[in-house]
Amino acid sequence: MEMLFSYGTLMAGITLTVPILLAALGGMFADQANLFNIALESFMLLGAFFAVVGSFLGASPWLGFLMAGLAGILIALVFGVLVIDYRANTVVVGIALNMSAWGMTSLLLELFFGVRGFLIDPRIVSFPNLELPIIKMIPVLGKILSGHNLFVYITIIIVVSVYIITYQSKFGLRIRALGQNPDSLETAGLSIRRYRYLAVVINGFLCGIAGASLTLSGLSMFSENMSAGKGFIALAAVLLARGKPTLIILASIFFGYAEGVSIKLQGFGLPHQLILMTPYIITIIFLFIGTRKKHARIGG
Amino acid sequence: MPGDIIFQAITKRFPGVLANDSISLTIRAKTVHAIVGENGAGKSTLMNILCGLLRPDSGEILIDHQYKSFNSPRDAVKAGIGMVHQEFMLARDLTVLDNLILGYEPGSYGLIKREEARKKLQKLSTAYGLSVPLDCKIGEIPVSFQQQVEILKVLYRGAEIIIFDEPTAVLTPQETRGLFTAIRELIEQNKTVIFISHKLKEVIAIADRISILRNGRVSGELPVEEATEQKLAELMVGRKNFLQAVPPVIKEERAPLLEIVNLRVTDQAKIVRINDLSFSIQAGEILGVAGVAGNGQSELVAAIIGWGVIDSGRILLNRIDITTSSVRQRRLKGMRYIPQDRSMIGSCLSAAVWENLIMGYEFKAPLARRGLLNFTEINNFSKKLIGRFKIKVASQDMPVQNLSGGNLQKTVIARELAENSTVLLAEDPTRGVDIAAAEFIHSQILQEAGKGSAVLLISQDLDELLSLSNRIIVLYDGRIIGESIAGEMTKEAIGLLMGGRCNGKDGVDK
Ligand SMILES: Nc1ncnc2c1ncn2[C@@H]1O[C@H](COP(=O)(O)OP(=O)(O)OP(=O)(O)O)[C@@H](O)[C@H]1O
Ligand SMILES: [Mg+2]
Repeated sequence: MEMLFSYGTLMAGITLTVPILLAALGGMFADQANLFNIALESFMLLGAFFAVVGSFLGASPWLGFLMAGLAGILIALVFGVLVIDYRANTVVVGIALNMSAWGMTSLLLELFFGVRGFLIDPRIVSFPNLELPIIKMIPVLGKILSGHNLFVYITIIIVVSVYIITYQSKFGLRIRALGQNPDSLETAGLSIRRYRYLAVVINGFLCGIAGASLTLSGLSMFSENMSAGKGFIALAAVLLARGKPTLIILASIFFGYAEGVSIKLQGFGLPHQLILMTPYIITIIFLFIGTRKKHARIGG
Repeated sequence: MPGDIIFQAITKRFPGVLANDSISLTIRAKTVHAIVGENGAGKSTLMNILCGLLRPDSGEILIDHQYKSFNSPRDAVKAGIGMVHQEFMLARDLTVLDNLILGYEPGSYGLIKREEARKKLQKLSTAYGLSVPLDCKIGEIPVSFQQQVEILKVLYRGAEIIIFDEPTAVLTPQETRGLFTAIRELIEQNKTVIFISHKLKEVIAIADRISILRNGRVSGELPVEEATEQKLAELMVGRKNFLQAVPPVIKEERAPLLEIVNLRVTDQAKIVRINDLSFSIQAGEILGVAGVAGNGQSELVAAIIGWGVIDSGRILLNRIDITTSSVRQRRLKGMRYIPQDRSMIGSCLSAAVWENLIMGYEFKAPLARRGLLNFTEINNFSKKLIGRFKIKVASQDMPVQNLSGGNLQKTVIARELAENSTVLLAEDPTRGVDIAAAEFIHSQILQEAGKGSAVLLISQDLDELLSLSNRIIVLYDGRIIGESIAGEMTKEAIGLLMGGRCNGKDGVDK
């Protein structure tokens, strides 16, 4: 019980929340635009790989960050062209992307770096950990708020921006209107296609940097299939929250924390497989509760 | 400032129908031009071409002597065209305010200044007496409010040419007056208005010129001075006299069929929507419910049909308590419902006409045997309904979203009246249908009552209520504020009660 709330678990939980949260926020935009995107996982994996490439080439995590975002946008555009312009089925495209991303990153890994499985190299630079002056002096809270990787703080900035974009910006309003009734957008003289693409691009960027957060927040390495299902957990958060950023944040924190706990639990000798299942089981339970509530009342 | 709008030989064909057959029409600038015609005549199609939603197969549109070709609504919006669509273009989970400003949000740096919009909208809505709750979600407000949101939307956007496609079908007389004030003001401001309605009285009250469409062609045009309701009706449907419906005669007192006992409903915000409401309807009786939308009508209907959450009270059908029965159980007991919202609740838009017609009958004989559909029977069933209700449709396999507004309404009614009912709940049953169809629907409702059904009729159209109901109750703030039997209450008296004013004699339950 104690380890559930220990300092170590808390810090691990925060770190593990970052990729899920970023990817889920990205997925939220597609969801708001009523595009069912199950390819978050592939966007993330590609982001993770190109983050390493960028950091390696420029000896700077910022170049990695940028390349991850761009890679995410590119693969998202592939999704966009197929789904928006060619009206392909989103699930089919999603499955195809998810399956090819693994192979593609492994192939590129071998072509670029001549290694298989994973890449560790001193030239890959992560973002630094940040000690916040003054704040870190606050008792208890200081220890929790300060000392995280820079990526955690970037995430906080992104969360705030996403919140503002969703509720306070013209763009956010239009995306939500698009998802609920495309005709409402079109008859307001706006282009449905354009806003669908914008939603997909943001989706790609956020998932791309979610991938970067896997490789560049201290680990400084890439390994095959590094996203390891995090994109699907993010998708679960998206489906639970149904377009509401606050719920996305809560769900992501919950899943991230659950993962943190399950890692700690390994120390207690519980079967490894069981522990790996925990976040997914929790997801299923939550999806069950979440969707049941939605069906309860339709009118009245 | 807009010039004349000229349609030149506009033709539009859909699979199996020629919706517009070489229509040529001139709409003079700064006038109100009405377009009337029976259901499926092609009015909405022509207007959707003008506003860029549809492209004509051939023909041209000139505005101010310039050829215009609109590839999307965006082009039309840029050319100053605004349209209130017959089927609403609203996002259900967004607030009224957000729906109103969509695409025209005030503010800079991509951020919205909602307070600025709110002020402008409040001014607009008080100026025209169109009141909408700005902070409610669209999905939570009654259809008549949604209609007003659509109207406010084009007023807010400030177009030069404004099309109103069937805007008054769900409005109360006061709300319609508000709309007419707005239209007159638009003309003052040198704008051009195109007005579509099946209510010929309104057309004559507001239009300068009137064009009649029939089977996709212009069958007549006349200045309002020469128009009478009969003349228009004749040009529209080929007949000028329509039967005035009269309430059914009840020969002897019978036991109540539907009883509502001390019903109380509060909504999620803990606001009381229905306050200790009791009434009963006997077999063969039509009870009319008058009231401004939002005074408990939708909650009452939701409670009776069985999907609403109620706090307390009982609902009895034929002396049997059905308060906790499911919607399906109630329907199996013969309860039928014509909802106000034909597209979201009344039908499945992407399903075919025949599928919509058999919903609720599809699991039992003769349409199904041993769990399998019997397509010969289904075909007969749906052909019969299409014929009986004169639904104009190219093929019964077409999704109902392709039907004209009035034909969709007829489809919903056809399904609900396909079998004898025990209780019929009808909300604005003649919404958007032409006069001939309205006459037919009225006769069908009377026939239901004649066969012993208890009918609850909710309508914004007081003429409809007065001509069909044995008894009328007026709802105000979730209570019955007035009640009278047929012929004892005037339209004016009902109007006063709807505004919440009791006039002594009739006022009960104050
Ligand atoms: N998208 C579509 N696909 C196929 N047929 C269509 C489509 N839209 C309209 N139609 C058909 O075109 C005809 C004209 O329809 P339209 O909506 O213009 O009628 P309307 O005059 O507006 O009628 P109402 O008074 O019922 O609204 C109808 O027969 C309708 O079924
Ligand atoms: Mg129409």
